[in-house]
Amino acid sequence: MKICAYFTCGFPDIESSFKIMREILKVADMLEIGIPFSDPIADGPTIQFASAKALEMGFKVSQAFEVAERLKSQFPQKKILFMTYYNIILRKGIESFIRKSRDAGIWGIIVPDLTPEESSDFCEIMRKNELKTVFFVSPLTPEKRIKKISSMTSGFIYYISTTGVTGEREKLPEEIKNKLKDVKKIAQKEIFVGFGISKREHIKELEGFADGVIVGSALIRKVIETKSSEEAEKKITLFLEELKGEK
Amino acid sequence: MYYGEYGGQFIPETLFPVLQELDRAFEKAKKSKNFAKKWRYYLEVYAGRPTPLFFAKNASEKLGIKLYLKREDLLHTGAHKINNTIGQCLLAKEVLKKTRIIAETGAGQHGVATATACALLNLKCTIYMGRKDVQRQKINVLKMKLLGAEVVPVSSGTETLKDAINEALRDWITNPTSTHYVIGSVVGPYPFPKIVSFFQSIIGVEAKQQILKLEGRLPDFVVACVGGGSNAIGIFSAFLKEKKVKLVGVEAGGDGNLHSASLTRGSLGVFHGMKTYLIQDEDGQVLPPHSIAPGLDYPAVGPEHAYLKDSGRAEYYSVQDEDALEGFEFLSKFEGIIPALEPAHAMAWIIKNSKELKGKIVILNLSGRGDKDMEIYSNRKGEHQA
Repeated sequence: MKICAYFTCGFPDIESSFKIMREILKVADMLEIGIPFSDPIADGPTIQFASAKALEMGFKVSQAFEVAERLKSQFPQKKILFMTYYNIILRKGIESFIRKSRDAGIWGIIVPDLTPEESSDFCEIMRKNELKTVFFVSPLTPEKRIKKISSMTSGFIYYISTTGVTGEREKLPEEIKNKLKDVKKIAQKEIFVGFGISKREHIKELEGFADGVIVGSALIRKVIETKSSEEAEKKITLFLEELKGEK
Repeated sequence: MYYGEYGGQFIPETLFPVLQELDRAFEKAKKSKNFAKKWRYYLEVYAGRPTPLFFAKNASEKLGIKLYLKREDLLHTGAHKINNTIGQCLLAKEVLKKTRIIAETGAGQHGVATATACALLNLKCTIYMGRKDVQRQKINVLKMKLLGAEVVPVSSGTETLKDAINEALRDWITNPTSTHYVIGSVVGPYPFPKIVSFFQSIIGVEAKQQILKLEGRLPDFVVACVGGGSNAIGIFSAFLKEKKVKLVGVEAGGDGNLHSASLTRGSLGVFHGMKTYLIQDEDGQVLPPHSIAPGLDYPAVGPEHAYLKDSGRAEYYSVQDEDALEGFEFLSKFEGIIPALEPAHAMAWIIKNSKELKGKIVILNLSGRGDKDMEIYSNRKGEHQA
């Protein structure tokens, strides 16, 4: 089971976020660099807090490209993605944003408020630049639509474990395994499960049903709860190793 | 789904099937005689429709124009918002079979109108309101609670209207099957702009009939304030095809520096599920809006307005806080009508442009009454006397 770790770029400040993500990449299989947006409607309180803090500290989108490039040069084998809201991309120009991402060594881009219906331009430019698209499937997505979503996905399918926003949850919903079986049958793409993943048990439960998990809020919380980012780095490393079952 | 290039559905996947269901339900309701009958019934005997079209004689003489006021301020709860909340709550209850309503509110007008419709129709109601607005609008918070709604203060972002919408959307993403989100303006992902426009279009339908009866002809100008833009779309819609009628939307120019004038000073963006004009920085971060009128204090605008602006069918201008206060005092003094600070912006534009409007028939959509704004007015006056 692959682990894709999300972290908010610029939180708690730009350099600390770089160092934390560098530590993350030593353990995790993939990294999602979150580019903060002022109004993150798909995110729960933890990532909202991190995004707001990053913006308060003066985060600029151009810094995300720099951070990505630095990380990629140290971890050339690992896949690094951007996760951001559509307005950030649109404002920079879809073409320009995607080209800069490619130049920074980005593998794919995740846009939580972009549906396949609205993304024909985006997908076309992504394809030209050989970047991977990631689309979401939720527990409410009907079968016919899963097909459509799958056909536009060149990276992996991001399965939302339960209706709601990002954030840690105690338990995974009971019907998740059946849902994942259905999605796999229809989509025949790699499936990563996100929203609420925060424990080793969650991952064990999903073994054989998903190709990977995405963990984000739980990592951000480690930083919120610790005084120094060095301490947070250690805690995050431990936590990721624990998730992988290495500790 | 689109108004030119504007509108669309920029939303998390979880909401996609819910918005499809909503669209189907709305189209079904629109065709249903039974639904129309119920909606009309409540609007007439509960909300107080039709609202009069009042010839403002004193103001007209002062300005050298023929000024008519569409008296939405006389509606139950004091503004046009109730047209939409009764419509959407009926839709939620009768067609969607939902039991829980959520809504956002800035100043509290839409929150009160939603809580009112929920009390009337026996629905559970939760209102999201920015923490700053909760503190500033204590009376409206009290009203909503009295009407049986739960008021949830939102302490993220700027702690105002846009953040209340963010939080309402998050609630909806979390409870998509049990809950209907009654959005308060012609904003948000499709089909919301269409639905709210439909429920508000009754303003224009009435105004057109009324002016034809009173004047025997169409007006030269229809003027309305624009925040999200629901009262403006409501009155514009009946005149869109009457090319000789000039449509004017008036935005909040704020204090000149901070403002809410997304159409006149914003740029293309995607926000709250729609592509539209947005007040943002060069990175695409949304900037905090400002207006003396709480109901205009929103950094984006409904996509149909963006389209009407680009196509030239409607013209948009902005007036500043100071001008709006002048409009507020003008209607109070000369007509005995204390307007809300929102339509006071539209009044101010008419005053400023009275020379060009000379002899013309002008309808102003008086979208709400000013009781709610007395504290703001009093603070402003105090500030000036000091």
